Amino acid sequence: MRSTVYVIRNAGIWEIRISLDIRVDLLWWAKVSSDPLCRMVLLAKDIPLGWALKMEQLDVQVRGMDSWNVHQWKQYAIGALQEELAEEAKFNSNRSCISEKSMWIWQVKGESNVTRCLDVHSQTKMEQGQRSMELGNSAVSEELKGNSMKGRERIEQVNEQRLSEEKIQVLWDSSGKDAGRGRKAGDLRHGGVMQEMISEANELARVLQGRSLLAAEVDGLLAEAAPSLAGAWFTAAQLAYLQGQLVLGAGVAPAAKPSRGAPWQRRRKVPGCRRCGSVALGRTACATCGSAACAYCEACLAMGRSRACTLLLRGAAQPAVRGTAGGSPTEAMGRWGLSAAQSAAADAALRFLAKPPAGGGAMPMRASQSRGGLNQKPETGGTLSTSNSSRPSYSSSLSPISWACLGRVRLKRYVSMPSTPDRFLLWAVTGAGKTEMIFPLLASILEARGRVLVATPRRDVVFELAPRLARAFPDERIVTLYGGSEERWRPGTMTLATTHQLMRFYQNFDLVIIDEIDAFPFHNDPMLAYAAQNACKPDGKFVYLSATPPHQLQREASRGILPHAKVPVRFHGHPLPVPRRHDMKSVAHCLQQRRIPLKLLHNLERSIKRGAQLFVFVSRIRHIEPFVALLRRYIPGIRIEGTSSVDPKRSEKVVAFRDTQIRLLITTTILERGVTVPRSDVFILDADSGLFDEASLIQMAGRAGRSKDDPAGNVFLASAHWTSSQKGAISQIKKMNRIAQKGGYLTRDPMNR
Amino acid sequence: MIWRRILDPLHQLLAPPVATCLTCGRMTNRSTQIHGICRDCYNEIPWIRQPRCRTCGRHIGCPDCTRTGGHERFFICNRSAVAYSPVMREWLGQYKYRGNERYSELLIMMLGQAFDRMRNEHRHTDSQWTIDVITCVPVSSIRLQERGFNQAEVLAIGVAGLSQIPFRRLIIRERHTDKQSLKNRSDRIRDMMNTFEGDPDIINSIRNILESRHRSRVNSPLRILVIDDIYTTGSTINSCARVLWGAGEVIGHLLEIYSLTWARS
Repeated sequence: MRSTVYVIRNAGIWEIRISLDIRVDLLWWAKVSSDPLCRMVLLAKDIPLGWALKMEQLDVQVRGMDSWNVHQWKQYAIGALQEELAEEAKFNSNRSCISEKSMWIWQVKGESNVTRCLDVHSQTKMEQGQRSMELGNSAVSEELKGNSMKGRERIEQVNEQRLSEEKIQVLWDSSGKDAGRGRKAGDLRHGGVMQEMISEANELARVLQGRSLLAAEVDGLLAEAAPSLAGAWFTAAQLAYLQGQLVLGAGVAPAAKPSRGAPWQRRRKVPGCRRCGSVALGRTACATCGSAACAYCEACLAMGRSRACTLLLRGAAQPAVRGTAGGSPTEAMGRWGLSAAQSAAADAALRFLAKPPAGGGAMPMRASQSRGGLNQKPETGGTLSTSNSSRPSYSSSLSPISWACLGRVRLKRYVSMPSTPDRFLLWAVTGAGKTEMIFPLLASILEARGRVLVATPRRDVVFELAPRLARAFPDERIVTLYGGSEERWRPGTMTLATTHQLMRFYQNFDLVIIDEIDAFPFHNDPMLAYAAQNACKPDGKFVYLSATPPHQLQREASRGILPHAKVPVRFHGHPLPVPRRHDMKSVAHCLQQRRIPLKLLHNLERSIKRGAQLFVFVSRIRHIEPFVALLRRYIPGIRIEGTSSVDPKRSEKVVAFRDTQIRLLITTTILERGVTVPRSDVFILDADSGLFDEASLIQMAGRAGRSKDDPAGNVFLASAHWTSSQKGAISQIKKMNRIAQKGGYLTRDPMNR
Repeated sequence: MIWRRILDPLHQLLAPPVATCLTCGRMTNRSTQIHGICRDCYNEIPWIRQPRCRTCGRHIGCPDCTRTGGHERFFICNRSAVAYSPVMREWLGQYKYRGNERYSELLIMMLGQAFDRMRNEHRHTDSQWTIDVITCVPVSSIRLQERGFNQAEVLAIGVAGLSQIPFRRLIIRERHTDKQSLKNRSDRIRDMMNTFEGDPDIINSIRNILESRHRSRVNSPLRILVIDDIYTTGSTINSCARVLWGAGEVIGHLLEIYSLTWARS
């Protein structure tokens, strides 16, 4: 889209602002400014939004600016957009966006007619104002005709002033006529219309709180949350922006210059997507903003296209709440039915939540900055405290002095502060009962009236968790978000979401819990890490949940940088089954020979005889089909199936496996997590394959012995070679068992097995 | 750990250069036929090499073109690069609705191949056969604002570049209609009437093209190729052709209008 840019001098400071509806800005500055030298200069109208936002970021402090004329301002604007105009020239579109014809300078507090007529009236007063404006015009022309003795300068000045006034008048009229294309219809000077707009702006700010949405998504949200606003919210958004309730940005914008790093790194200014954090490489001609090279983000296209000229609205955030310090561990155990090991870990996490942010004294300041500097005290101080709210708003109850202060509150626009929320790692072995452990954490934040988010990389986990959370927290409004969710725009205190959905939030949550941090799509995806970080308030808290944390986190935990708690034992108090080594030729070799090694066959048969369900993991999808056929020949009499990520009947087969209709299931890592089958044994074939890393070996081994009735399942690592991943997996499992024993969590000594 | 930090970059230096497939995102087996996608994805493309219907270029028997009492047809024939299979639907969706404009290059290459086939087919009967100007089906200004690009125009300019034929905007879309993909056949045909108009400059553009042609071909008809992304009932192409036809009558030169689309449903 396109937008308008102007410069405003208020309280001695020049600032560049963008505008979606210039009428609001004219009214606002006429009302707000008390600076006698307050001037407003229109730099350009209808330029690509990306350019406008770039200009807005500029620091405008040049000596002599106060007395610049239109030509000088034009030179300034052209200088500011040098790169963009040069790029545009390459595509030989010689249409100039910045022309003196559309520019004007307005002495806001001067005795001009515009100032007089830009006052919010009731209907009758407005008509009077209109008349007085006409009278004023004729008076000026009288003066010009009569007093020719006055210096040429004066005449020129008056001429320029008149020209500007005419231009403002034309602009006002045209934006009024333009209404309907996102703008509010009606004369904003009319008291009733103005009142309506003020309440609309507040409404918009309310529904966008903690959100980060592209213009199209705002439409979607408003259609549901505030239907009266849908389709015509530009005017209200502009007022909310001036009041500091909203931050206007673009979907793709050049990253703020990194202040650290080597010089060659510092110079790079590649555009990045402000929603997903990826580098936006795509640049195409764009009919929406008219620019010949408009950048867009290819990484998050599935969420609607984010580009340099799409408007990104971010609501201002509230400060984070602290979790209520947990009661005694026994209380948590009682309420949520936690085991000793679980409640010890939950208790450590609760203490972490109750702690003030690690930044110490610096943190509150950071928080207030990120809220757009709204709650920062104006420099003159104290005047605002007379009104109840510290938030500036367009209401007539404020005294003129406080209006003046408002002008001085510099809005912080690009809010990407390099601040990270505090993190905590809950390292719980497979089958430890992680979900129950997060209940006390959620409760502690919810009791403090905070907002919580449980994010997980997988959609099926969302479906599985939703009813459990609903049962545990019957009084909370739980919103379940995933691609195509019906509840997309519903507000709630507890949000359960797949990680992609986090991109629609901005500093909204006091507590973010990320389940299975190491699972694919989250692992190694900086985009989702960025989204998760943005969704959390800068002074909020992060809790990672994992049985197999990535190496980075493990290292930080062992060095003591990352606070963490381990749950080394399963909920039933039995040790984890330690995998046994099993020497075997590769699966490919078996398939070629059409033979299954006797030793493997023997072990399989023994497991079948003891009535267990058999997971057989292979590394390649293409091995599944022939291996199923081979096993069926060797072991007749039981149902043997294979499934993989490309199998459309996967969920049916998993259900049949759980019901013991299928006894032996051959699969890939797709089933390494989240599947609980009561009595099961695990065979990992080709365990030396590069596709099985330590984490997935531990996860696969974790499928065995999960139920109370059969806590000691068998796990076999069948491979020709002994790899470090296998060694690591076994040693980690053994280590956890040792910790559990030392902590006294085991109901039975693993050594006596 | 330290070793890994040193060796990883070295490893990457020595590793073969890989590029991810545009359509499936995997990093294996790049196709040699079309740049940017992998061999598996290339094999998924349902090319229409031998159209069954000589008129509309359909790959299966076509009841629409043999239907009696149908609407008057203003174009000679249509040819399409591919059949509109679910995979192709996904590709077009990625490009047109999701806005992944990297697909444009792929679609242009595919259209380029289809254009070559079309030209060879016509040169069997007329060795002098050639297209004089390429144009595209326009979109309304509202849709253009919303989408940011006109997919048909991007394709047309691409094909024009590949085949060294001038591209001109000849048609504009006056009325904003709802998305075609939400309507049935009779709705579409009714709706398409009067949707298009000649560009204000259409007469001059066509005259310029006529004047710039080689002297030997002064008397042959002016052949215009209209490009669009998908051909479903042909109503869009036909009403565009009618607009061009009208302009041809004004000028008084015989026009032959051909159509080339990326997909045929």
